[in-house]
Amino acid sequence: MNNNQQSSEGRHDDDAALSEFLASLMDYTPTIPDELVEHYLAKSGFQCPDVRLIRLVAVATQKFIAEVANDSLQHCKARQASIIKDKRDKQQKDKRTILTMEDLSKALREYGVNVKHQEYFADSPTTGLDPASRDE
Amino acid sequence: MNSQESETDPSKFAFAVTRIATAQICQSVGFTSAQRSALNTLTDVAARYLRALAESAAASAASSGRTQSNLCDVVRALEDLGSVQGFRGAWDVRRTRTLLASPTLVNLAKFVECVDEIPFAKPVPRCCPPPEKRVTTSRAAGVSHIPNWLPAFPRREIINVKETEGEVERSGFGIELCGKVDGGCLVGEKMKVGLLEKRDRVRFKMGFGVGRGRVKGEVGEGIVGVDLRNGVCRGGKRVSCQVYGNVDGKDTEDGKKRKKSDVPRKRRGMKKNVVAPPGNQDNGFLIDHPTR
Repeated sequence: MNNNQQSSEGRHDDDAALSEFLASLMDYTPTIPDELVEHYLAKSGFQCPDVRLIRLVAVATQKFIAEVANDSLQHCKARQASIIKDKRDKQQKDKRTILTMEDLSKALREYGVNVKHQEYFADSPTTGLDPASRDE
Repeated sequence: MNSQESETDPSKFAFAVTRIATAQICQSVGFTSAQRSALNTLTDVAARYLRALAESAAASAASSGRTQSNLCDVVRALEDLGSVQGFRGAWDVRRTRTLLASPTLVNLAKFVECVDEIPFAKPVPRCCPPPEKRVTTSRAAGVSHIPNWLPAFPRREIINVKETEGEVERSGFGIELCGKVDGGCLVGEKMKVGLLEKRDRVRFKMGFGVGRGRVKGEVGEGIVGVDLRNGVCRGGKRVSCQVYGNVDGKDTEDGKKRKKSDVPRKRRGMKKNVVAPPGNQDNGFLIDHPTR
């Protein structure tokens, strides 16, 4: 009995938090525009007139992409940290972080996406070069 | 047309918009630049994630007998997609807590609280719905006993045109075989299949030694005229096939070169022959094909 009461209280809290969260979505503008999300949702047979749900989907996608991007950023930083000292000195000048296929595929693998990219596919003449030596 | 299509192709436009959004997210995370291929890959993943989420939610709604998805469907879809990573409370298969208290939702709420709001770079034009096609239903045509949802009958002019076309096809369709005698050899045969102009009588004429050469009086030797005559004569209206073997290959080539220029004259020659009584032709036959 006591346990039930506790859980119902907790449920009330959850519901309050949830409704608050959904209400906050009305004011929140996700990076992925509503129109785009609606387009994809309509394409997949998702019907819902509620803007909050569309925002929720947009936020979820944004969170997923942000997590993947964050993971690849960590991979990128780890890779840069492992470069030997003398090279790193040069690198201190430009603190550019570039989203590369290498880091991205590593990050995506953890999310169940197996990215297979061509090893020597050069989308720019400087692709094969070391990121540090690109500007030289 | 092609370029226009590619410009207005909604999927490409959607991809471009998604790419901008993805690039903004990457920038917010801390990247300063990105490889084009990597950004494209991430964009593709984002689009796929969106669609997978929507499909999963729609399927969940459909399985509960609804057409419109609600929050529970979305949460279920989120949990499905998050199950690769795992989340707190994923063990709770029997759902002792409500679905709405799902940890994925709580995580999302935290995310919204923590992350700065970065609106999309540009306002996206909402696609205006395509102009309604004016469908002339059968009711509009003034026929009351036909249900309204059936498409309209085609207009009367179209039917008329089609009928006349059919007639032409029936009367004018045929195989024209023009034999040609060159140096005694029957070398060319021209097949013409298709719609011809409308005329009163159509005559088919095939045969060995009926061509222009015969008019000139050159009947040559060295021809092997295999007269198969296995044509399908349906009611005496159509004769289809006749094959002539030729011994001399050189002559054939020569004849092919001349063939095109000779076509009009040949036809004239044929007409002459047709007018002549069929008894004059030793190895050919003539079929009159009057239009019905």
